[in-house]
Amino acid sequence: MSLLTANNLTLGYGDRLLLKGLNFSVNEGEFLCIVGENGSGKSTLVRCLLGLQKPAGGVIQPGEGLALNQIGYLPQQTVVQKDFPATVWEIVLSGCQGHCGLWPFYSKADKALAKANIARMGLTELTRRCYRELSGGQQQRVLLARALCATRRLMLLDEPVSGLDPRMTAEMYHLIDKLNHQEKITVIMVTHDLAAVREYASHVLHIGKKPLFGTNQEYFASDLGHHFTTLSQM
Amino acid sequence: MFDYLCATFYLDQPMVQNALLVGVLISLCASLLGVTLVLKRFSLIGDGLSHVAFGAMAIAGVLNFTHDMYFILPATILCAILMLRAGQNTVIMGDAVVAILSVASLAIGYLLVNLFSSSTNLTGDVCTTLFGSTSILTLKPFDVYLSIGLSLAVIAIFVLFYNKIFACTFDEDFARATGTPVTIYNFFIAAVIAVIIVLAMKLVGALLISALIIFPALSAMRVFRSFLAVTICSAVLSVVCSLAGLLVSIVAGTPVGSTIVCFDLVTFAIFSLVGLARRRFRVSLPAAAAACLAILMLASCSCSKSPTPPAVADNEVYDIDLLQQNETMAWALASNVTQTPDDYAGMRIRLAGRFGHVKNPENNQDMPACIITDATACCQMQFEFDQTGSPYPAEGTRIILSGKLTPVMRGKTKACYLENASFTVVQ
Repeated sequence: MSLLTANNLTLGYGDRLLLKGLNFSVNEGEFLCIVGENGSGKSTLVRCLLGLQKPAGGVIQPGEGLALNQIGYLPQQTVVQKDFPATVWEIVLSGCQGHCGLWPFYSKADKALAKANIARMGLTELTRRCYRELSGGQQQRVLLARALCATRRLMLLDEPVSGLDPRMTAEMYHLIDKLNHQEKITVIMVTHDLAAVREYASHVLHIGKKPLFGTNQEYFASDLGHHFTTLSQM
Repeated sequence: MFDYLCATFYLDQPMVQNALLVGVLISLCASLLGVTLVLKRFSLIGDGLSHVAFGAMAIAGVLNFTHDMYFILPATILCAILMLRAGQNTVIMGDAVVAILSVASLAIGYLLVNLFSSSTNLTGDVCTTLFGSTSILTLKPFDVYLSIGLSLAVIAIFVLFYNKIFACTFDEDFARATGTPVTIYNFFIAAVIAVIIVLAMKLVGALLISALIIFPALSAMRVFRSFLAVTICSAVLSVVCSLAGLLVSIVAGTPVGSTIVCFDLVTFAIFSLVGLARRRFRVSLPAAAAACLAILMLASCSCSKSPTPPAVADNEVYDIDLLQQNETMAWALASNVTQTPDDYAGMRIRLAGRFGHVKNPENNQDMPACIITDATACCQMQFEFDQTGSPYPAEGTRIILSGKLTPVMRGKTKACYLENASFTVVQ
């Protein structure tokens, strides 16, 4: 039984149909990368996986006791967040909001969890700092710590390294890889970085006119994978 | 010291006490959600909603409700939900819906008031609703209790939902994806904003509400860097500015709403400077505190320069003597008297104004009257009198009028008539 199964999924928004007949599944502990050109429907797929939007057809079936709202999410930065006055602590703690239900305040366990995740991301010294004054890489780590507060099972990362310099990018990938291998957290990552896909992914989902889903080796051996790799190297 | 304060600011008068209490509570409420609105890019929703509230007030007036709040509140809440909902679903329609709703209700409201109003002083009513003028000083007991109740409810709700409001403001998608019912909380925020707008109309009037909501939040965001600190600071700033504005306007005779907003503006300027300095020299709290002090100093300075009311020698004793009050207080007292003449029936009253005539709608006769207008000459109040014997002065002559207040019916409304009146012409 897999953690998440997509069955004959149709994606689209408004009257526009993006793609049809998408099938894939994610098992516990896997590292799935979603690749594809701009406008191919990656963001729509992400929104469907998170339950923010209903797919135009087909179903997304969570398994092994996972509820759809137990997916940790690392979003792309929004304009609102660029000048948001909040400390690292406030933001990471807000990841625990899902556990609170109607209760207005955070519990001791929530606070301990937030503290542990801040330490895990190496942010302890920055706990009281303001989010908008941090570097891009630090901001991404804060959002990752927040996602870890929300869930320990499945992480959905939406272009986690966009806008980061090479050193920060490497650090970020290292962190994600550690979460996947040492802490056994299942990862779904949307990315344009094929080098990273080849290095870290266990499975690849290519979204486009002819979607392709397979293991890392299968993808890069396929014509599509080969074609896409050459394209992105040009 | 206390006596001095009482005398300067009329603190012993119930209407001033009510105004200060309600003013503090309303401005506190208004500032709380300001941070969220600014960050969610909904700064102008306050403006839109206040227009809606104006329209609702006009409809309530036409339908002749005793407590118009029972109609205004639900109508405004409904429109608030519509506006916030539109802002989320479709990006382009967001501000267009705000524009449509606000302009439409403003137009319909003004049209209805013109067609069906039972009031004798139409422009005055509209002017008061739009700019607040002194309406905070003329609160009826029902308004006071309602404002206190609703303000406390808003504050309680904000404290209880603080963490959820933060989560929904910072990252709606994340909150939704991890199981927070964001839509419900957004409706909730919309409803609370509507309540605040309706309350704040009494304080600053419909056109200036946005300032009350966003200025303190913007000022606080210049200096502080955590959400909690920004929220607390904007609440403090809002209360300080409203208090300073109210007191200054009472003493200096300026319009309440615009005085408060000017204080908010000055605060914003000071805090922007503090924010700049802060990035250079890394000081924040002392500088912010100093800025607050500076504003209060400014307020007290302008108070001490205020003109004292002219004393007019007269051996008679009056129950209400508008000549002993400064402009703002006299205006507020006079409007209390003209709005509910029955409460003041039989009292000896003295007032100053210009001589003129008002039409009695029952027999179409011109009655001599003393007319008091405010600075913009859009609001006016009339005290009719009748003094056979001595000739009347020319229209527009300044007179001091005294007599015994008698409420009389003029059409559908009560008007003020002074019995046994006598007047003197002011040179």
